[in-house]
Amino acid sequence: MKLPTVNDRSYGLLLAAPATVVLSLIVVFPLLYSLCLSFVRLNLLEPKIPLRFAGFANYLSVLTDPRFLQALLHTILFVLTTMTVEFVLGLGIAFLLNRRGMRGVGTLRTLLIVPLMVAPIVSGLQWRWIFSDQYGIFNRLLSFVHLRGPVWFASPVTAMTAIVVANLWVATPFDLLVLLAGLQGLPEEPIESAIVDGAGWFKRLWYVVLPLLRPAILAVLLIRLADAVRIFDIVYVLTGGGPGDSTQVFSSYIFTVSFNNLDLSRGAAGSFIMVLITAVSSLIMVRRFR
Amino acid sequence: MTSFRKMSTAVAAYVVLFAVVFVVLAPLAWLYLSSVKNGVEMYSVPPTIVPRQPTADNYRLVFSDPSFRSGFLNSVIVSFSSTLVGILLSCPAAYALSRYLKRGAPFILFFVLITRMFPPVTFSLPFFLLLQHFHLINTRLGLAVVYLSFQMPLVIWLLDSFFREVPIEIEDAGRVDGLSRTQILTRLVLPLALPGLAVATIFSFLLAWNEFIYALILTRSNSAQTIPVVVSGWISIFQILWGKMTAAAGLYVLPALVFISLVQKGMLRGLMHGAVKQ
Amino acid sequence: MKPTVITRLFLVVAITVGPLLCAYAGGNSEVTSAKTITVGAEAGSPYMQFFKDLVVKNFTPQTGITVNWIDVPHNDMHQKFLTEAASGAGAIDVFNADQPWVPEFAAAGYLVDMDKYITADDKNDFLKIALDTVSYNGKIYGLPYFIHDCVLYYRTDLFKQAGIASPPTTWSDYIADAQKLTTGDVYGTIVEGKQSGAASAKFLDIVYQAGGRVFDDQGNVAIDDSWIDAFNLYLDLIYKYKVAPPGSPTFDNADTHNLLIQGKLAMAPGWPYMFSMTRDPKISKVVGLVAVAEQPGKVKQTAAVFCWGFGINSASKAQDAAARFIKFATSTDSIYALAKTFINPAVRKSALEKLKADPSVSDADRSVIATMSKAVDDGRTIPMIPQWPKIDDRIQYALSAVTSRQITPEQAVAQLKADITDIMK
Repeated sequence: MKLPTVNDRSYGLLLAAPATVVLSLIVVFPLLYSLCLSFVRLNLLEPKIPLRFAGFANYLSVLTDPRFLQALLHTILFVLTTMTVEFVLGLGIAFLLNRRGMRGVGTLRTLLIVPLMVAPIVSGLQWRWIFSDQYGIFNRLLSFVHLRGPVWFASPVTAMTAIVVANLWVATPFDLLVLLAGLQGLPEEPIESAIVDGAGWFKRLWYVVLPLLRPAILAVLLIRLADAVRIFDIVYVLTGGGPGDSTQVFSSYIFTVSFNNLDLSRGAAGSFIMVLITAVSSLIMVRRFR
Repeated sequence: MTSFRKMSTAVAAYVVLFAVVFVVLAPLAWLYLSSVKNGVEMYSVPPTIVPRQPTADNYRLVFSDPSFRSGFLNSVIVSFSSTLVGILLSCPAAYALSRYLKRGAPFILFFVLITRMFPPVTFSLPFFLLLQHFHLINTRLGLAVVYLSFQMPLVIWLLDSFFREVPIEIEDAGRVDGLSRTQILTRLVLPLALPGLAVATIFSFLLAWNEFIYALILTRSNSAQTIPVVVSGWISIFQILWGKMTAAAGLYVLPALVFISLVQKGMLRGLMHGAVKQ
Repeated sequence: MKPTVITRLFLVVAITVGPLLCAYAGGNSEVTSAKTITVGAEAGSPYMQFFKDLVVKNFTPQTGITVNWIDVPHNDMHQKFLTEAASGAGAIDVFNADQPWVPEFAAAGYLVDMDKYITADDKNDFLKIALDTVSYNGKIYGLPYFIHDCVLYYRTDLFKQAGIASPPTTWSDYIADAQKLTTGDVYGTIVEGKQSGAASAKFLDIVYQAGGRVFDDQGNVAIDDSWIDAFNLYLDLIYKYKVAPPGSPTFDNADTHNLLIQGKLAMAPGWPYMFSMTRDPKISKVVGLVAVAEQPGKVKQTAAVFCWGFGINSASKAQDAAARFIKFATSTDSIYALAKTFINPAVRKSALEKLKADPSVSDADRSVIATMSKAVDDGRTIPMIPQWPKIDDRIQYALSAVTSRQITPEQAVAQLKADITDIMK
C-alpha cells in the first residue's frame, strides 16, 4: 500500500489541511464579521441611522476613552503580576516533580490540576465567600493566629491581590503541567554531559535546561498571555470592577461597551485594539526567544 | 555525607510539594465541606470549618433535578467529542508545522494564536448567527464545533512546542531504517511527545468542560445546555442556591478527574512502550 | 486597492448584518394562530416557577397554547436576550424583562407596542407607577407582574431589648437607633457598596430620601448637594458611627439577606423577597423575629420602585398567542395569587382589594403587604430612558469609589454630573 511519493512540503500540507480547513471555517466568519463591525457605525440604540462606513472613528473613540486607558493599565498590571508569579511557581514545582526518583508524581500532578475541574462560576463565587467580610474563611483563619485580615475587596490593592490569588489557583497548573511535560521530554545526554563537565545546578539550569526548554516556555507564555489578557469572570464575580473601577479590565470594558451601551461597533473596535496589543506583545516575546 | 545531603533535599522537596498540594486543595476541601452543610450553617458568622450537622440534602436536590442530569450528559458528550476531534485534527497539523512547513509555520501559528486572543464577548453574536444559519443553535453538535475554535489553537501550539523538542536525529535514524514519514510520526515521534499530547488533551478537555459564555448564548434548553450554564441558573437576583451549587460542582469534578487520570496513565504507559521499542 | 477592500468589507457586512436589520424593521410578524409559544425567563426564580405551575394548571387547559421556557441566569439575561433579539431569530416570543431594559429594547425596535392588546379598564387597574415602568416615549411595551421597592427590616426582639418603641422614620433616628442596637455581635444596620446594580438601586433610595433626583422635570441633569448627603449617610454609618459591618463597601443584597437571617443585623434595608426567607427555619435563625417598616427619610420617606414585566419580541411569529399569555400572567387572579404566595405588593388595584378581602390571609401578612404597598405608593421609579444602563454604570462606580473612600462625596457628585451630562449629549 504505497502512496505515490509526494515531496515533504506537500506531505506537510496534507497533514495540516484538515485542521486548516476546519479552523478557517469556524473562525474566519466571526473574525471578518467583527472586523467589519468595527469599521461601521452600528449602535443598537440608534437603529434608524443607516449603516455607514465609519473609518477609524470607532477605534479613535475607544483609544481616547479614559476608561479604556484605565482598563488597559489594570490589565497590564494584572497580566504582569499573574504571569510572573504563576510561571515561577509552575517552573519551581515542575523541577521538584521532575527530580530523579520522585515517587507519586502522577498522583501529585493529578491533584494539582483538580482546581481546574471545578466549574469556574462556582470557584469564582467560592473565592468571593472565602475573602468576604463576616463569613469569609480566610480572615477567620487569620484570626486564629491573632491577625486581622483586611476587607479584601474594599481597597484597590487588596482587591487586585484577591483577584490574582484566585486566578493563580486555576492558572498555575497550566504552567506547571506544560513545563513538566517539557522537562520530561528533554533528551538526557546534554544534561549528563554538563554534569560530567562539573557544572553546578544553576549553570546546568541556565545554560542547558532552560535553553532546551525554550519551545515549551514560549508556548506557556504566549498561551497564558492570550488568556490572562482576556480575564473577565473572576473580576466580575469578585469585585464587579470595583472598588471604584479600580479593577476594571479590558474584557469588562468591551463587555460594557457592547452589551451595556449596545455599541457593538465600538465593542468590536475595542477587541481588535486589545488583540493588536496582545499580538504585538507576543511578537516581541517570540523575537526575544529566537 | 553526600547521601545525607541527597536525602535531606529529597525530604525538603516532599515537604514543599505537600505544602503546595495543601494550599491547592484547601479551597476544594472547603467546597466539599460546604456541600454537606445545611442552609443555616452555610453562611454562619463566623464560619464553621467542619459541618456540625452534615446533611446529604444538597446532593439529593441535585440528583432530583432533571436539568442537572441532562446537563451532565451534555457536558460529557460535548467535551469528549470536541476534545477527541480537536486532537485528531490538530496533531498532524502541529507535526507538519514543526517539521515540513517550517517556513510558513510562524505565520500560521501566529494566526492561530490570534484567534485565541479575542474576548468571547466579541464572537458571541457572530457565532450565534453562524449556528443559526446552519440550524445548529441549541444542539450539542453546534456547541462542539464552536469549542473547536479555541481548543484547536491551544492543542496546535502545545504540540508544536513538544514536537520541536524531539531531536531530528531520531527521525533521520528512522528514515535510514526505511520507515515511511507516517511511520516515523506514529512510531517514533508521537511516543516521545506523549507527555505533551497528554497535557494538550487535558487542557483542551478542560476548556470545553468549563466553557460558559458560548454555552449560554448558543443553547436554549436541556437538550444542549451544559453544567456550567445549568449551575449558573441557580443564582437568581433573590438567592444563590449555594448548597446545591457546591454539591453539583463537587460531582462535576469526578468525571474530569477520572478522565484526566486515565489520560495520564495511558500516556505514561505509551511513553514506556515507545522507549522500549527504541 | 483601497476602494476594493472597502467594497468587499461592505459586502460582507451587508450579508452578515442583514439579520440584524430585519429585526429593526420589526417586520416578519406574520401573525399565526400559534399553539406554542416560548418565554425567555429568569432561571432559578421562584416567581417564574410560580408562573410555570400556573400555566400548566390554567393557561394551557383554557387556551390550548403550550408554553416552552428558556431559562437564563439573571446576570446573563440581558446579553442573551439581546443576542436573540438582534439576530432576528424570533425563537423567543416573550421576554421576561427587567425594567431598565424596556426603554433600551423598545428603542432598538425589539418590543411590540402593546396598545392594541390592553383595554382602558386594564390601564386604570394597573398602578400608574407600574405602567410607567413598561413605557417608553408614551407607549406601553409590556405588562408588569411584579413591583417592589426596599423596606426597612428590623428585629422586634432587639428593638424591645434596646427599649426602642417603633422603627425610625427619620435619618437621625435611624442613626441613633443603629447606635443603640450595635452590640458586640450584632450590627445596627448595613450598607451595600459593591460596584453592582443591586447596590446602586438601593443607593437611589437614599438619594430620593435626601430629596435628590437624576433629572428635573425638563429632563436636565439635576444632581445636586442632596446626593452628597446621601453619600455621607453611608460613610457615617460605616466609618463614623461604625454601625454597619466594615465589609459594607463590598456587599450587595445577597450579603444583606445572609447577615440578616444569620441574626447579625438589627436593621436592614431590603427587598420584599427577604421576608419569606426570614420565616424559613431551614435557612433562618431569626424566624418570627423580623418585621418590616417603611425606610426612614431625610426630606421624606421614600424609595426607588422597580418592576419586572413581560414583553413581546417584535420578531415573534406568534404575537397574539404571546399577548394572551402576558394578559393571563398579569390578570387580577394571577397577580393576586403571586402577591399572596410571596408576600409582595401587587401591581393591580383589584388584586390588592382581593387580598384585603381574603379571610385566608393572616392579619400579620396583611399588614406586611400593606406596609410594602405603602412603600410603593410613596416611591418613585427610575427615568425610563435607553441610556439608563450607562448612567447606572456611573452611579455604581461613584458609590463604590465613595464607600471605599477613594474619592469624596463632593468629587463623586461633580464627576456624576459631568458623566451623565456627557451620556445624554
